[in-house]
Amino acid sequence: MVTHTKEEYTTDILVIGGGIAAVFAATRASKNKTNVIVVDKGSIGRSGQTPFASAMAVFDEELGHKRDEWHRIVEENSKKLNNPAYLDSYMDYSKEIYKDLENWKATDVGFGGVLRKKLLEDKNIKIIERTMITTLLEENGVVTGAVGFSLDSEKAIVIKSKSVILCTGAGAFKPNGFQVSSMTFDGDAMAYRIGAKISGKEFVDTHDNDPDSPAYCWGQWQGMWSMGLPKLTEGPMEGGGQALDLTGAFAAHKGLIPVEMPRPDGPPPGGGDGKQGPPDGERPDRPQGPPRGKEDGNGDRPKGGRPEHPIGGASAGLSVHKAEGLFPSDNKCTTSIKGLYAAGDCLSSMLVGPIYNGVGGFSVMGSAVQGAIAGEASAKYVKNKIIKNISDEKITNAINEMFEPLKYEKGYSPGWVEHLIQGVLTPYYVLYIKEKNRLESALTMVEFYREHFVPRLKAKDLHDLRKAHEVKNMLLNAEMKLRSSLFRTESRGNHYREDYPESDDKNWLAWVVIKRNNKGEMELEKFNRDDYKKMIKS
Amino acid sequence: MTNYSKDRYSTDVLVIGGGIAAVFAATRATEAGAKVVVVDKGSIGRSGQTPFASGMTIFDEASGHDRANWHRILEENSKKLNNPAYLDMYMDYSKEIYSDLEKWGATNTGFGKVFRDKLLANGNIKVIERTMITTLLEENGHIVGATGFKLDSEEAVFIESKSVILCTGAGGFKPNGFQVGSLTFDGDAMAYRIGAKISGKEFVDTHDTNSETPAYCWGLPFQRKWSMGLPKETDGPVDGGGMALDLSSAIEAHKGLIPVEIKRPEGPPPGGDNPPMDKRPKGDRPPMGKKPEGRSEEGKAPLEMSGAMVGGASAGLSVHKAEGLFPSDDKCATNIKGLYAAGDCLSSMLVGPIYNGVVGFSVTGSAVQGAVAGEVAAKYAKGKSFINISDSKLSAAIDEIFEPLKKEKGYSPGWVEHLIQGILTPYYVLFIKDKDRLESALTMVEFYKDHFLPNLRAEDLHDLRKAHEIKNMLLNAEMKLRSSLFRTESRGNHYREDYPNQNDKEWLAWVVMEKGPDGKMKLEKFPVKDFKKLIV
Repeated sequence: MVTHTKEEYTTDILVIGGGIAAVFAATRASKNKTNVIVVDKGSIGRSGQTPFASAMAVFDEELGHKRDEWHRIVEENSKKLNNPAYLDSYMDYSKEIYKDLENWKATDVGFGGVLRKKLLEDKNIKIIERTMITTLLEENGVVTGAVGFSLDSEKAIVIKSKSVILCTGAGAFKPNGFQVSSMTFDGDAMAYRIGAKISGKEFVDTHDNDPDSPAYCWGQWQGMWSMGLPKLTEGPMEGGGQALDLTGAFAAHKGLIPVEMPRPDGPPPGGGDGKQGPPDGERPDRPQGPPRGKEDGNGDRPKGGRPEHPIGGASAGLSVHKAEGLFPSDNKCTTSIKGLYAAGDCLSSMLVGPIYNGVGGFSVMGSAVQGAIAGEASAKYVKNKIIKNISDEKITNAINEMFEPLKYEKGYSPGWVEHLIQGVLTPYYVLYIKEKNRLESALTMVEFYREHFVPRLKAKDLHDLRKAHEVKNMLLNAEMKLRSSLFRTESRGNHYREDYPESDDKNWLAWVVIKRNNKGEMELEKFNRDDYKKMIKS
Repeated sequence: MTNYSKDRYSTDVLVIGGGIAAVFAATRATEAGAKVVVVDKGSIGRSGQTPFASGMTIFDEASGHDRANWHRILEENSKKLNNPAYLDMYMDYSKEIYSDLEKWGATNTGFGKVFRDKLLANGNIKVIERTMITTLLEENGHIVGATGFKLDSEEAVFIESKSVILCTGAGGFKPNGFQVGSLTFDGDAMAYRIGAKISGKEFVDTHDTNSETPAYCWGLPFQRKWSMGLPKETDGPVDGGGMALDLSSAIEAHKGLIPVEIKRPEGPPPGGDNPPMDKRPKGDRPPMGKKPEGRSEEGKAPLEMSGAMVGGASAGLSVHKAEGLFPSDDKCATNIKGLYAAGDCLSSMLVGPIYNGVVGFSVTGSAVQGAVAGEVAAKYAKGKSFINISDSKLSAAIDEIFEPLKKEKGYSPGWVEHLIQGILTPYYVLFIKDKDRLESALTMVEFYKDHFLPNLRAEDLHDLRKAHEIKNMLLNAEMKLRSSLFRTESRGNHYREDYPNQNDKEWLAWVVMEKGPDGKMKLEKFPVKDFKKLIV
């Protein structure tokens, strides 16, 4: 029997997520005279990877930046797998985005609070925090809203909307010590279930860690949390200077020693959100701002932060920024589901391709830019649209399914299944150094967990309920990651197949797009990278 | 040549292990006139599963026991997969073994120390403790000795011997909380590497624990029951598999998509050695200060247990006497000349592939087989001379032992241990089996074998021991997975979800494996009825 309460909302646009993409999506949509609801599992401005951000790369022709030059470098660095359309939108928007942030006074302080306040003050925006959206609603290929639950009371939240913008970030398998554990691929998973196309799942983040205290990897980022967004004006660097190349790891693996992740000269990977900076440590336009711990005068790392022999694995299961997520159907953050948009790390915009790519400050700026574009495109879309009717039965079913784990007397503990997922997917020889047999071995277990545990996850309380849904999302994404890793029979960027160690330009200048077919199976196909031109809408 | 100093011994019979099988092997061998060296990783009398023992079943016609009746019950209970030759041996020896133990004063006291003192006092036995044997040495199908290392100093130990008796027990994957962490299938692994045949690997121990405190399984049912005496049990086997731990309840649970509970049938719990208190002869039991709380009178879960009973306490362990070296006769001989095995490292199939309605069989079975092996090994050694082993072969073996200490970089044995546990201990791998899952686990085990084993790094001697234990665990994991895949039926404590029925037409057979000429594991069936051919 139903014991929960229910709250219903209607709005033009529903934004899911609370990082910088969501902030720009909501504000731009509101600016275009729409009503917006923003729902976040956590707290606006402090969700996802936004708190990691510490610099923004701005394209500015007045500073001598050349569009063609940026295209050439990013394409080279990205192993020819980037999407130039999204680099164009980046170059179109980054300057004004940065200006907005300066106006908001978000660039030289802990910006989480500023971003949150910005939304709270906007009368067209309603914020619902500590609420997990579990289900997107859809009718005949058109998104109609979403259903979720409050983390603090047994209350279902139903939002009927004309359009939905996913700003749900990437995902990971709740790695030890690395603070991205609220990111469990929720957006990708929900969208896949209603038929959206997904891409970029074979590429992995390779953030490193200290072999002596692997669970303390976060410590390396001490004093760098959400402390300001200085402007970076160097633009992309030649030769993939900031790429984290897996070759060191391959050599280690072949040599049968533990995998070290030697860095090329220059700053460490991470999308180069500024903190790591250019190798000489000189950073133009950097405000003398907040304290960041002691600096060592060379690359701005806090003393004692970086291990001498870093090892991979800090970010288990995470993708390269902007590589994985919903596959765009145009250059404006549109997806294969009508009315559904995606921005930031849950959009496979391939802004910098499948590798950390010689671009400092692109990650957070890319999310902000895409959020803004999605907000505008969505606002344009909802004009003259009406709120679609959703049958009570459909909503009731979605709610019942959502609360089902609370009803079991017996079942599998989400925490237990989470540990099993971690055991199968986090070892370096599964998603880092890949090989057919090992990928298939992991896939067998993931399928077993999906068939066997997912239908009987038991939640003792709302915390457990959240975890149950996160586990479902993690498992679905594990399957996507494994299948697309098996599908891409070459090595490129941060996808390395031990059994296909070379890049194969003849066959693989393509993205791997995943979709659920009519039988409910995962179907994979190639989308030629050069066909990005067909996506471009003016 | 190696730089490591080595202790060198020569002896008629080398006994490896320190549980009750080793104690009887050593004493009986000296009674038959042999000189004996006993080497144990730990401490004599407190090694392996011997400390768990708390009762011995004695066959005695004077008590009205009937040989044919015992055979009938055992065969029925064991799903027709027991080896009657070893039951006969059991019935021949159990009474005199028990009388030995009474004479030693071992039946109503903490017997670990009694055993150790017994060996130490014997002038023909040299005891070497805290020493891990890693390698059996062989020439042309004959055993010639063994080598290992001391746990307390960086020294090799080499024992030249005419005969070797493995009393190394079974093995587990160092399960959480269950005190069999030193049992890592060492004997089976060493013997396999020199060409011995191995059997019984598909059957699993299903000792349970409670769902609320799964790592505390040792504390609850076994409290105050450790090595406290060996009262005589005279009931004999019980009809109808009454004490069998049947997987069927687990299977139901699995099908019902709920966590696997291991329900106990009526009667005493599994383990072979824990009869209910009211069935123990009065006065046989030593004073324990307080009534043991391990089991309630009905043999159900003890009162302090909370949560459901779940399997997995003994991750990777086999049913007593089911797994180990495959015997080539009814006297503990193996297919390697001069190599004998006794107790839980001999696949004697004494009670078949399931806990089988027999209390007090486990420890008595080990003692009996130890005694027989000691007698036959002494006889074998008589009149034999030592077979020469070349210095280069010995040096190579010793260098290989210490290799993990020399590596500057390498994989930590503890890390690999956790990976092995992660792959093999979940209930859906070795408890509730299925082809795809077994193959998935096998892929990882093979990867670990190829990739980690050649580069295990040991920081110290503790790590070195662990490195060798991991090699042995991994080899055994492969055996367990391959024999589980091979046996395409369900029987006893082997359950295949994809072959849920017993198939008597195809599978009244043991699965025997050995290293093939290409170095790969070779598996074949040995029909149970051919056990008669084993009888000497």
